[in-house]
Amino acid sequence: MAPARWILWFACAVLSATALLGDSAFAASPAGANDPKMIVLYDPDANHQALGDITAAFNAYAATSEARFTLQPVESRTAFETLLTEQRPPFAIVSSSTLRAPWGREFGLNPLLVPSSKGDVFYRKALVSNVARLLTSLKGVSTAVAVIDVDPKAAALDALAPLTEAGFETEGAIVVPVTKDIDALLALAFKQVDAALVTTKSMDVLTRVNPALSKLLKVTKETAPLLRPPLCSVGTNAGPEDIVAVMQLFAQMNQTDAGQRLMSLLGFDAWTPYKKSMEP
Amino acid sequence: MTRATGTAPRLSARRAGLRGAHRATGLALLSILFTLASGSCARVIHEHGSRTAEAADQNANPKIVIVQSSDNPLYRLPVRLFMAQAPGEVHTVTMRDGQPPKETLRQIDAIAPALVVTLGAKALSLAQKYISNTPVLFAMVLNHRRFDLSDRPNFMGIELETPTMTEFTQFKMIAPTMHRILVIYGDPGTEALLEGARIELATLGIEVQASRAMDVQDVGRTYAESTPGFDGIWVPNDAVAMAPEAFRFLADAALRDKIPLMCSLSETFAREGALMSVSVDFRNLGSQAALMATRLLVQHENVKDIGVQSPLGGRLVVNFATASKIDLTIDAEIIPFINEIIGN
Repeated sequence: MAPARWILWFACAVLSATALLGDSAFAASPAGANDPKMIVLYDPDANHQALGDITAAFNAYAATSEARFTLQPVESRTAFETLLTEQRPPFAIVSSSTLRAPWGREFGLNPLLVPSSKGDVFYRKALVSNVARLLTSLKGVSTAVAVIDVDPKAAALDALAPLTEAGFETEGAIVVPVTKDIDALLALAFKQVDAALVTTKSMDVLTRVNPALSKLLKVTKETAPLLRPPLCSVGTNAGPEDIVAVMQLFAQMNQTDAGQRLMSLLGFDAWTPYKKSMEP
Repeated sequence: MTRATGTAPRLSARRAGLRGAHRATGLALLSILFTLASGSCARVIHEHGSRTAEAADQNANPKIVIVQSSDNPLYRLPVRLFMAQAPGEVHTVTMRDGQPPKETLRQIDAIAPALVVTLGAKALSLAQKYISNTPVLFAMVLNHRRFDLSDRPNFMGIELETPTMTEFTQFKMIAPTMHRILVIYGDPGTEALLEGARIELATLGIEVQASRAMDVQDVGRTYAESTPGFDGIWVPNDAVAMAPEAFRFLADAALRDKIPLMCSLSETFAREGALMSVSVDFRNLGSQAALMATRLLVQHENVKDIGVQSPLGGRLVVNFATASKIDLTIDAEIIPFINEIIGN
């Protein structure tokens, strides 16, 4: 479906819901009517070193639109929960694991759009070890994982969840938080850690850049496909016109230089309407 | 544990480069390095107060003391991350100017730690002199080899210099087609680093073309007389190449000849116009120190087996304005792998 058509379709659906349920279904957020609408970004797999760049790029892109939105990245689940509780932002971009987690469901996150890269709305993570090592569990195994730093232990548990869901024993892992996947792979290749949990794309990049080093490593376990972090409305914080405006803003992101720059920082190239069937 | 290849320049040579830093281009890097390195001059003078520090406490919640050489803000991030992950109760002690070492030692003694973590050269110097039994983990010390720790079985640590392979794996993400790099160096100590780099970089398909300059003023002549055909310039950890005048010359030459300039040791070079830099990542450093502490205090590994390690990963900073000036297009897929983008 072309972006213009699905925005129109979604707008009609939202407006119909308003007519059926009344305005009370879309309670106003505490912010003033003219204040920029906040979009919270909480994705443990995002490039956290680039959060400042991502925020600046988003705000530069949003400035080209009549709709007023501002991006607010957070670096921990605690900060995310506090912000959603206290400021009631209308929108959030969250990891799919947050969307599925019981604590995430409490906020009434309603996915609208999903990012894609070359048409793929999923990514995968791989547990990588040295080629000679047989890993059957992570008990006592130092495992480098790119996670946010403000609460590394909690973030590490979240990061290992897809591996646990894939049936791999992660209890007792010694998680070593690092800033990016390549650091985790280099640490593993240099035998500073016993394992690394990285995106499969990171392994591809290492293989392309340094094939000799990548030959020292092997993928021990791959997770199921993980949905890229969807843009969600939060509970009833967003009004119907806000939803239409934000979807338009995101759908047009790849049509301007500023939007393309933002998406390259986020690591994808388009936004696609969310479908329930996307969830594993 | 892996170790960085080669030898870093001697302190005296580095400090020679420092004088010009504040005078010319104002490279903040060098003042940071000065802060990290200057502790080596402030040798602890008090010989009394012999240490009877306890051996590693094996209980469930061992005490760890972090001894900071000063209240340098650079220590805050690794300290915070170490404290969040360390396997025990962490205390901090900060050395103050003019404070006698016995006062610092008294504070350490009062805690009776199972592990002492030192940050900076001054704290390492203190530990080297007075702590003989308690395990010591040092970090954030430029060229730690100037401290002879070979006969000190209770010392382990993290180097401040990133390995060549760590640097070039990341440099190649940004400039994948380079196959021959020019290195102009001045310190004879750098030759060992280059010898290792030649072997390692050959596996990446990169040839190292090295030329020695007699001093900073000789860098221009050396560049002009270099055999053409190189498609990148590397400024390694070398006092002459990193001196402000030499760096400025190489940055201008790289722009003029439209080739990538890659720098070790500090992101300040990327901020000052180099295409990119890889340096120690202080976030990773906190995690790495916590892992080493876990191996010692929880997994009961030997200090010597843990050893002195290269820093974990490396912080890649890329100057997009420079990339644009040299007509280099950076693959959009690689952008999420960059720690910081400058000048976009």
